[in-house]
Amino acid sequence: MKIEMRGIMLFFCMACFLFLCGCSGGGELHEKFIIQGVAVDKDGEKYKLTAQAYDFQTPKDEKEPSIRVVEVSGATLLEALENIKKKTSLNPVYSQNMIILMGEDVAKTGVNNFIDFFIRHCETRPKVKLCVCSGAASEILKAKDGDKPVKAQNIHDLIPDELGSDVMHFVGDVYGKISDPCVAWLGLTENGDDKEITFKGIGLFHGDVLCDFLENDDAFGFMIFKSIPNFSSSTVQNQHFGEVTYSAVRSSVIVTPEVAENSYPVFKININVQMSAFAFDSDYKNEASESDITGLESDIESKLSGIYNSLLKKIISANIDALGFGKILRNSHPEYFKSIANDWKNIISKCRYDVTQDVELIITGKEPI
Amino acid sequence: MNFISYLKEVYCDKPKKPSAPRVRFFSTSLTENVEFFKREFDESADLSVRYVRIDDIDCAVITIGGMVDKETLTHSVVTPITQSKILGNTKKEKYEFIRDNVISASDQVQVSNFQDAFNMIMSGFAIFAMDGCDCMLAVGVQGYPFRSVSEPSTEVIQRGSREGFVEPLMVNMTLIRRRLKSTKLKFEMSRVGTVSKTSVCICYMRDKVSEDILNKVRQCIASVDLETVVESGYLMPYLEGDNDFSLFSGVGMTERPDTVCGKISEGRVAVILDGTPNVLIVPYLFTEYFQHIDDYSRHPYFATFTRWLKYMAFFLSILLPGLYVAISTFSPEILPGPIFMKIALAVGRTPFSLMTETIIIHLIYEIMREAGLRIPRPLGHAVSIVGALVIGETAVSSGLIGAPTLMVVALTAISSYVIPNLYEPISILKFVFVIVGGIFGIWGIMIVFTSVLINICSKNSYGVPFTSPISPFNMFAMRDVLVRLSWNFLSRKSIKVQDLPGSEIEK
Amino acid sequence: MEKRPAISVSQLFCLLFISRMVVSMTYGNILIGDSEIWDHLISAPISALLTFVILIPIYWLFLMDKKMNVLDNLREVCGKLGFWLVAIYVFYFLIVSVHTVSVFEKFIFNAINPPISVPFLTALLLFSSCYGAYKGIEAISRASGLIFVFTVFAMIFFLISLIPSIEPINYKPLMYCGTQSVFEGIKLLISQSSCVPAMAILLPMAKGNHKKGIIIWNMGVYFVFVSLILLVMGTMGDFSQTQLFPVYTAAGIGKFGSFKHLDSLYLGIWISGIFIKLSLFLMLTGEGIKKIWGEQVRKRSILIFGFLISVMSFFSDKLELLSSPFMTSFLIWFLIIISVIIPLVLIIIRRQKQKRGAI
Repeated sequence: MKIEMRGIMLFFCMACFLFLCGCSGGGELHEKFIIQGVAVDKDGEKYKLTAQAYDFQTPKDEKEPSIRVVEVSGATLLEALENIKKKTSLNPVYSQNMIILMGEDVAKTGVNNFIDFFIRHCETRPKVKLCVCSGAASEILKAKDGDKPVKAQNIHDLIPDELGSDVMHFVGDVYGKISDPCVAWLGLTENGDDKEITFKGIGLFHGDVLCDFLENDDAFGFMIFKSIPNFSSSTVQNQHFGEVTYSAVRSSVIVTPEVAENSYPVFKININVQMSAFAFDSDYKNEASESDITGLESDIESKLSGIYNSLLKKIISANIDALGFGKILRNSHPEYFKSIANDWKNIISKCRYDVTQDVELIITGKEPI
Repeated sequence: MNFISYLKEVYCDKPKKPSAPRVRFFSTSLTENVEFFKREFDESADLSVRYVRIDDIDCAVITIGGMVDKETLTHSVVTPITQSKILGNTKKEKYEFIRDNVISASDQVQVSNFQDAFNMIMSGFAIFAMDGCDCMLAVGVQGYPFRSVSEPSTEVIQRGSREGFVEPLMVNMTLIRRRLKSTKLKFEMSRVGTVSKTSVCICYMRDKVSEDILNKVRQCIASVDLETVVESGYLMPYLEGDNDFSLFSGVGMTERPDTVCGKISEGRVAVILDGTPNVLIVPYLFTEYFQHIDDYSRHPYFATFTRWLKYMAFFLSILLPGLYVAISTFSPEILPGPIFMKIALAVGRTPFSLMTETIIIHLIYEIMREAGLRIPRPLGHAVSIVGALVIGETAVSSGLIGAPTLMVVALTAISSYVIPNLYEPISILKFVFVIVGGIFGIWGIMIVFTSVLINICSKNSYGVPFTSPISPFNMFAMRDVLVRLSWNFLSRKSIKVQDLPGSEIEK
Repeated sequence: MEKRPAISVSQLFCLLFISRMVVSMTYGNILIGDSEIWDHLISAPISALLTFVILIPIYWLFLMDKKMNVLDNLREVCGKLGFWLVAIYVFYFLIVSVHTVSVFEKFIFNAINPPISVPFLTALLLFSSCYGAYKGIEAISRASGLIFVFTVFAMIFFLISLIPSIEPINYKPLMYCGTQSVFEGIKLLISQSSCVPAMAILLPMAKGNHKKGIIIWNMGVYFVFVSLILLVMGTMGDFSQTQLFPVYTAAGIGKFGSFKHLDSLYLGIWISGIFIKLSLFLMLTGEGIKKIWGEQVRKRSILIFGFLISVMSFFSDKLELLSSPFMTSFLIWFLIIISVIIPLVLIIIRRQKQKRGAI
């Protein structure tokens, strides 16, 4: 027994020493190009890739590492990524990547060609935020706040988690072939001499191809549909209060599909939304009765109806299922949906969408009504 | 002989036990006997023979200088035998008269052979020999100097007794007896070491201990084939029992009599060795490393909190440096962003790889620790100053070592002192995990950690699973493991060590 | 008869639970191929019932003599043929070990792709598992008891971290694409039930209420499997189909307060689980070898098998051992032979011998 045990131990130790020679691929942190954000653009036939990473060779007196932005290009995304190593002599690491920005041109030619890398590479994470930019995506990554580039973390924080504007939802929708993906739309806005990064709206995709953008009231309506509160605001003109700005505090959407023989499905959409009103006109006298508030509520309701109808018209006319009607229909009427599954994208525009809503107004703030 | 068979002979074959020395009985001639004593001791300077004549019969009092209290010797042996009237006709009768009526010392043993006489004389007895008698009288007049009972420096407590064991065996036995005034408490004496003949005492509660454990302990002590035994650590490998390799020991050690009393009340056996204040306790389980006598005098909630702290500190001290190296080298994605940045920034400014850096600092720390233990006290401050300056300040400011690495090593070092009895396995394991983490990443660490777990779980201490009562699990026994319940609850039923789950001991 | 190591029933089923959980945690496209993972939600309860049915002969044989395992029975009842039948068990346990190592390699290579050499990591795993197997069932079961506690806590942690990310719309109707996936799921789940033949050897080693243990274990295993599918599909929806190891991906998505990237927690438990499973099956092969050649060969055989498995796992990748439908069918038939047919034959022979008074 003793010899047996020693045999195992000896063999084990020898094996360990052998491994010592064979394994040294770890590499040190500062030898890695730890990517924080990536922007993908088209440069003719080539992919242009802009990557933001921390530079750990920062001078000693600096408390924080400086930010380094590298631009490379390649015939494929993989080739471009490999060029990072050639250019920086550092090994790219994707595990800390927080955001992927797609340029408008690259999104319009189809995303499948490059998004595949971000699904299959074992370092990348499924919840990496994905967004589309008007114009070149690299401009966003290169945008500066004072003399320093805006951190990828700050760009990442602009996009609400609830929107599902990430690789996982995008790929899931493209792969599932029922609903269509939608991602956040970022852009640069002039602010004096500086350019600011803003969340402009939503980029709508048909499959993996960018089709359209939603902005202003359309984007506002879309966020209510997706139950994402406090995204942006809209204004309404009221007889008593003047111009009132309002935003959604909470919203819940119930979609009930109805299927009848020889006709296309009808989606009964009930939107229950709590609105917060603020920024009343300056000549408002702090006096409001119950009926005044009901009046404001009905004004907001009619404004919202317009927003919903315009939004649905815009989405549906393009045969895009960005709001997930297909999945709802599949889950409630599986047999029926199976029969139309292949043709679903053509049927979207033929379905009827009945929107009913219930608006509750919450007026908060120091001024009592 | 080839090398392999040589190794086999050295490591695998049990050395032949030296045959027991032939017993030599006393002769009736005092001169012959005393000559033999002198010859055996080779006229050693401390052997003292005082001749006396009683009624024309030659007598001798043989002692070892320094081992006896001269005053007691004079009052209880020399003065009575020289000044009393000795009755009896024959030499034998006179010897018996002296033995029964003259010598006033309470501790007397009659010996008939040289072997016993040597043992007695070297334990501080005085040997009274009379010409014409084939036996001698060993009189207890011990009077060697020893350290007084004081608080053990290795097991300091906040509340409770300040008494710790000392070197003489008899004093240690007294310290236990004073705390357990029970007739069930038993001390069993024997000797170990073919040359040193050190007294060893096994101590247990007759009504609590399992006969199975007791026999095993007796066998283990009988199997000691050392020439000299000067410290209880010498006995540990023999008391471990099985030869399975493990970094963790199934034999506990304490300097506190109250701890020993607590342990033997649960059916354990204490082994006290003469000449050392460290008392051994068997069987000793993994969870006992995290129990401290202080826990039982504190509030249960706080004792529970400190238990958890100790478990956390143990895992932190063995795993933290390894995980730090593994995660930073192979899996940086696990680290939260800001921590990750700080580490990368620090590593980027140092010349060594993270693994080398961690090993170097650990080695420096271990060297300093060892130096701190051995160095004469007046120089201790110098070591601390050099240590603090060399490691703490200069290494970081010169850019040789990263500050996060230093912090990890410092945290590990402090954590390892929370359970001082486990320092030895901790110090080895942390190195193992740093090397494995640097080569195989967290995957390697998990594999080796599970191997260590298997190693701990496979260990049995005298038939009781080392990891009991955690695994095999027993809910009731857990009342003093992860939590320390109130004495109201603990006292409801005591669990003996042989009753723990998974125990193979006959009850 | 030699002295058997004794473990408690709860320890045994902790050990078997972990061995089974390891399979569930790597359940995904690499094993199921084109089958719909969502429909395996129906396969799970059916498989649980089938597992009970498959376990009947083993349990019955165990009840006939609670001190003898199937290998002892084979030696006692079948004479020289018994050696060959024991060899079949050894071969099965070897196959399961190779399969486990293949999953490990595939997972490490595809899901993590560490910058270290995967074969070397596998070798480290195998050597450590050999050590576990060498230490015997008591050591493995005690270690599994501790790992079980960590596993349970980790599962609860996963549950808490993933529940907020569940999107009910991802739960599509069951059997949407027909019943094919359900059948495939049953086949796959049963073929992965390597713990059932292991029970044939391990039951006599355990002391306690075996029936209760079997019921709780079987229900627990499939309950966790169902929970994992619900969590994975609820959080990832169709995206799960693009992932080779969706449970691992889901663990990375989970978020609990400031805790995120829980995939490292997953890895910790999974690797310990793989270690325990490999140790168990290497130990079982050793038990078989002991019945054929004796105790001394058993110890040596564990090391030899460790080496053999590392070689075989290298080829298993080439043979597509994991994903081939042949392998699934092969494992099912193998399982039925050694868990149902052989024990049934042994029961019949023992009964007849008992009637004749030979036993």
